[in-house]
Amino acid sequence: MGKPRSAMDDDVELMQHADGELPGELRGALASDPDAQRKLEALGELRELVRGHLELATDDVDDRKFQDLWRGIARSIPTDEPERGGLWARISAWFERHRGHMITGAVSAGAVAALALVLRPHPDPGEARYERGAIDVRPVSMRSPPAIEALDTPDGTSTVLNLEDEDGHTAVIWVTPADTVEGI
Amino acid sequence: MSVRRVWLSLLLSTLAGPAIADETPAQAPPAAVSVTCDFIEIGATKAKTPSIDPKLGPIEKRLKKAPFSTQWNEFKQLSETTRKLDKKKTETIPLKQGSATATLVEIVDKSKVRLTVTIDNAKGRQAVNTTTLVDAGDYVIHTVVLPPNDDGHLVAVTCK
Repeated sequence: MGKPRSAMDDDVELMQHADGELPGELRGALASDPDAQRKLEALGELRELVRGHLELATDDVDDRKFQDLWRGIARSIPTDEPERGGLWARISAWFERHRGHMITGAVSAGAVAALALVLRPHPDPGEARYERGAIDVRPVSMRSPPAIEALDTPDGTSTVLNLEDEDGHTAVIWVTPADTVEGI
Repeated sequence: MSVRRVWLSLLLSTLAGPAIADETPAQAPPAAVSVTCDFIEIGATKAKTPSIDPKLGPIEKRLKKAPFSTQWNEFKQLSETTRKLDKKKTETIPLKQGSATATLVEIVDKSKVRLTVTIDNAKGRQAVNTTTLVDAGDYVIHTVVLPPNDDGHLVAVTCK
């Protein structure tokens, strides 16, 4: 003799049938029971009602919340890709890596500059003094008579005189044309 | 120190060294060697009434002395030109009668100039070609006697 079936057992079997989990031999027995058929239809309607309500609730959630969720997930995933910044960040990173080289190079350059300073030829200070600036007008007493270093008078003869007074020296180059000389 | 570090250091010092060495002396560029000279052209004649152009004030006293005073008694300024002469750069000096050139050969003792002056007469023939060492403030007066009246054509030069 089998165990007598209660109403609760029937309801559990109906729910299993609605979920497609009831064995085949029991499905035939439930199909012939009109009360069980009504309960089964009611269960189906209730399930559709709950599913529709959940879908509407999902649509009401702001897309930005999902985006935040995805960003958080993406950040938490470790990656082997090296971090890439802008141009300045890459330059800074390069200097960070080669700072030691730069210091060594700067020290070497300083040594080269010091050598260049020591070894460069120094101009004659006297010469440099005279190559710059305007000339000085000395007092008359400190001047010397003008010196005629070269004189050419192609068409005549020349005489040089030096005059001196309180205003200074005057060199006079006197040129007499050859025609005049011949005419005298 | 790795080989790569050595090469990088050498490269940096090669690039930076000359730049630093060039900057360090901080020498001002050499100033141009130049002087300012006045060229005064004078016409001299024998006249009944002696006169000296007032414009010739700075050399008037010299013109009143021999040999000028014995040859002429009237002096007129024909032109006056002031030129800045750069070393070894020949400048043309315009004259009323003919033309002239002047070349600053060098400055000596910061108070003298070695100057080459040429004067061509009105016919374009060279009358004088001279190189003179003269103190600043002193004069060189190139005097050419012109036929047929023995008038005088003078070019006085002074530099400072």
